[in-house]
Amino acid sequence: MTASWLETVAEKAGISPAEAEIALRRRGITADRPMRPARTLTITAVAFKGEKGGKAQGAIDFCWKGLKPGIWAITSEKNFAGKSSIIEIILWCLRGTPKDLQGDVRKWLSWVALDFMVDAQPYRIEFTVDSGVPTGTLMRIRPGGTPTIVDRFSSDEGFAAAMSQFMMNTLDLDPIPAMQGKEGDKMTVEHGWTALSGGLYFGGDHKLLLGDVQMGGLPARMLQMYVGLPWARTVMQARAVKKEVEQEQDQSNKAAARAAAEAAKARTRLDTDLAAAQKTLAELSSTQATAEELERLAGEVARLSPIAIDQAARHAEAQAELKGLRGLADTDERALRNLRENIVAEQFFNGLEPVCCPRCEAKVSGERIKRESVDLNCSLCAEHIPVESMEGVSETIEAGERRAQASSSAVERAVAHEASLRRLADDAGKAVDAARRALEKAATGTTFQQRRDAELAVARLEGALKERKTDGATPAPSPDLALVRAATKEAEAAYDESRGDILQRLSEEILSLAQRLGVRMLEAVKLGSNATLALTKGGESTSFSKVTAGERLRLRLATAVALLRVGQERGLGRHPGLLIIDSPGAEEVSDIDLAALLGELQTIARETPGLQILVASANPPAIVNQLGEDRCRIAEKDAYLW
Amino acid sequence: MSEVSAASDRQSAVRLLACIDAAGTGTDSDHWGEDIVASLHAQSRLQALDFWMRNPDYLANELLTVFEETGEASLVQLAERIFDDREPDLRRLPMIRYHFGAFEPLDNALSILVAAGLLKIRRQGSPGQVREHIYLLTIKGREAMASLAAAAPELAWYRDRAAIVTRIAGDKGGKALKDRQYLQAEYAGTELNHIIAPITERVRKRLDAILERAGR
Repeated sequence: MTASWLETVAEKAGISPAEAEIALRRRGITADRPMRPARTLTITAVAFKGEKGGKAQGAIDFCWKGLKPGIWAITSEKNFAGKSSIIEIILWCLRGTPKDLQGDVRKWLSWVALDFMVDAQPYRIEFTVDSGVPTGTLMRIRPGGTPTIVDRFSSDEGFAAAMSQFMMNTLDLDPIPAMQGKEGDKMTVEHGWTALSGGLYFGGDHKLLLGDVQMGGLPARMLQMYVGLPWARTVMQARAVKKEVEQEQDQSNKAAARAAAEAAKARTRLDTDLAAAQKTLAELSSTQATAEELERLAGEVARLSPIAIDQAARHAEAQAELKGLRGLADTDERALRNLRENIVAEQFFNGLEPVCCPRCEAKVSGERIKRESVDLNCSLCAEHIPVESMEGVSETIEAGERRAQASSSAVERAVAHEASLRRLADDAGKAVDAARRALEKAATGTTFQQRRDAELAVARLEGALKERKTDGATPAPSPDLALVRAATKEAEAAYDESRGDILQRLSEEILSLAQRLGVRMLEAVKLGSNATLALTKGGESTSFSKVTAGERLRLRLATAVALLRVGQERGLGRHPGLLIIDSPGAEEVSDIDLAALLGELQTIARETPGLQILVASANPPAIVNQLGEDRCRIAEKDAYLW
Repeated sequence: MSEVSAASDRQSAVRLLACIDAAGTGTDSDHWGEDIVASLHAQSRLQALDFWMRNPDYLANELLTVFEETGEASLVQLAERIFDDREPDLRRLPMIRYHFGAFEPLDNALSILVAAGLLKIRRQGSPGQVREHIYLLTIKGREAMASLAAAAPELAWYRDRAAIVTRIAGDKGGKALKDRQYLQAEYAGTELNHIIAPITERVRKRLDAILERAGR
């Protein structure tokens, strides 16, 4: 590579190297640092004080000092003598947070101190414990023995943060980013010192080659971290950021697609609505009433109404007059007829001689008839009969006839008058009705207001449609995406190029160490970059996860030591060379030949500068016999270690 | 019609003479004497006939009813004439309604006929408990009606009208005729002691409907 990684990445992303550097740093992606040898971590002393509680009684005052590289053991005849507690207290100090320290032991403690060296620099952790809560300091011990406070803490969280920061910086480790959560909605989390410190601890049933957290491909990352493969860290950072940016991009693409789909749906709906509104508007004839027209029609009604009322009143007057005249004419006609009838009837009846009394029907005597004609006395009742005067009768009839004729003519005239007034009143009524209907139709039919509403509806829908005419720009790819992709690709290339034969070399070393540590019939080992260990054992292919717990312990130890030794050999790597082994002969790993394993570890430790191994185990005779009393803390028979 | 029309006793005498002349039957005339040509039974029948004489609108209605029963077209023409001559306005003589129907004392008018020897009245039953009046028309009476009709067209109207009324009444008794007159809602609805209301408009419409159906 003639151009640097940064230059190549910047060119691929189309920006300047300076811009690329800033953008990548903001994203937490940095170029690989120059390789350097791993630092070693060596515990030199552990001490703690306190007061036992519950069934156990007595003061606690434990101190084990003068520890150096090499193998050291804590051993007791029986279980529950405090072996694991010592290991756990050491882990508490190194991690800043307890791993599996029993709650009651933690509460018994009042003071804890751990002395350790990073390469040649001594440090001291010292804290008091109040109800299990630590308060204390991390100090660097200057050549004269004077301490300099590196950090202080007064809570569990504070202690954890202080130790994490110190260890990560000092051992040149980086937090391991990992994506967690559901697909498409992942969050970046970081595994820090608490997880990485798992690379120093060998306990339990040894399920994983490195550490004790399976999550997020952590063992593979830890392997890369501790091997110190060039560009591994950059690849890791870049891949995590790439996933994050791609997810962001994906989410915004999906959101944009959803928005586009919704916009398309809205457009379809608006198109339909607009077509309907345009149809409505078209159906409202353009010759509909204007405000002026309404006013004109109202004026017409106002003008015609009084005329119609006046004509109706005049017609009503004429009708009343006609009715009156008819009554009069009828009366005259009846009177004339009565006159005629009476005159004729009177003449007729008067001309008849009475024949009998209408009451008793007695015959009227001739004498009475005679007297009537002579004396003008009634032949029935003898009353005087006035002389008949038929004179003037014809004049009376004539007068009656004239009168009847006059009133009849008056009726005829009145009929004509009434008829003409009725026509006028009808016409005026029709005119005002027509004007009223026209006004009503203009005001209540498809009106001015309706037309205006329809126009507004069309305008509103057209506006809304215009607003949604475009789908909304597809979100521009995050400017970082190209950069991050390029960074990932280039880092991977650099990683592949420089990785070389490190894994091969590690595999050889693991094979050799594992064979020495007693993995029987092991013929080949192949360490994968993802922290898998393919094995050939007795001619058969197998793997780390398929062999026994005891073999897994041996392979883990071999791997850790191999990391240290190959690192030293190649001048890289980050494993601090401290191995803490808890109960290697425990039930789950009972096939261990403890003495042989310790003997070989002792040999390996001698060959490997900076390697310190702390073992907590039962079976004191075997251990003491192998390591020598000065390298052991022993609790014999029923005794406690502290 | 602003005032209630009334007829003179002589006019009423002519009207009643016309009724008895037209409706009286000759079947039992021998029984009453040589000079009797026809008899009419019961005051109620005479009054019922007189009701139609005095109320041309009710008569027209009856003409239409009989037309609808018999299909006799001349009856419609008669009804039409009644309206054309404005008889309901000019010829109506209102009557008062009593418990037993249209009623007006006829005594004065009948006395004129009796005194002149045109009519005899026989009462059956005991005095104070008259069951029935029987009106007996004399030869002189029939001659008088003919003379009156010949003397003036106005009086001939009574003769002609009585003939129509007689035809409508048929041989039904006074009670049956009154029941028929009661069928007219206005008549039945008239309060006691009140003038019987005209039904002119209703009958006019009925006539128009009939004429329309006949295609005229």
